[in-house]
Amino acid sequence: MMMMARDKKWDVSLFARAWYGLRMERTFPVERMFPRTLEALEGVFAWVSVFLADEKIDEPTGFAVKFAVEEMFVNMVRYNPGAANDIMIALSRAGDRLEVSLTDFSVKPFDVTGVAEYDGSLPLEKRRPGGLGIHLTRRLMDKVAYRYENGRSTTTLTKILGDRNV
Amino acid sequence: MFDANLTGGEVRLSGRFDASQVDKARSVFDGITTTCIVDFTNLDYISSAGLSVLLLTQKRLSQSGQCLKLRNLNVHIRQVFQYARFDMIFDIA
Repeated sequence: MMMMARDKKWDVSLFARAWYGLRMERTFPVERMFPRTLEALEGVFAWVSVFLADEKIDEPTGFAVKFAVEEMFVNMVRYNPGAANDIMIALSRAGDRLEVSLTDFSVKPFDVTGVAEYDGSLPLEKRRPGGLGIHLTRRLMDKVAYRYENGRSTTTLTKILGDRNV
Repeated sequence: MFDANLTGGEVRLSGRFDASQVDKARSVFDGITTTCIVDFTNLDYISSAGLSVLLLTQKRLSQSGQCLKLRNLNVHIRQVFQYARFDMIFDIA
């Protein structure tokens, strides 16, 4: 039922744009639940791509957003393997700010902002893949924030849009 | 749709190399034992999961004096490699 309600909000937004023929600012988020599997990534990319196209987001920004969404989604899948609930992704735009939130339900905290910095100065033999995704997400996005409340673990990513996205 | 093909000492990547494609990529990269060109011409996207496959392959090959040589990266992927400082540990052109 929850899924249907969220999808309805998305449909209402599209209908309103078509009806009024105006470029409305989507200040409320569109949300969708995704299964806790890596196979869900294809659907995640497809859904995020529709939002980015609808908001006329340029290619470099779109690449960064999709990259960051994958990294955070995969972290939730991998680091809460015992969790049963789907993962919610919410997308919104307010002016020059694009925001993505990923929420994991009934899980222990995993604060991505507290992960140690990836050391890219190390020689090949000392390099490890761990921490690379979070490091790159920090570089590609303008802000990464974390909140934990009543078993809900939420990571919010913000990208400040350039002139090309207006 | 991701694909990785090893032919004539060269790996050609295409599509989107995300975390769901790691097993498919490993089945190709684990078979590389000598210096090899990796052609990114048709690769649109790579995440840290894909970078990890390349990193672990490069580490294994370096133990026998071999390496991966990366070619034709698009501008977005090239930027990711720079942020990861992979340009220090890979031959990229």
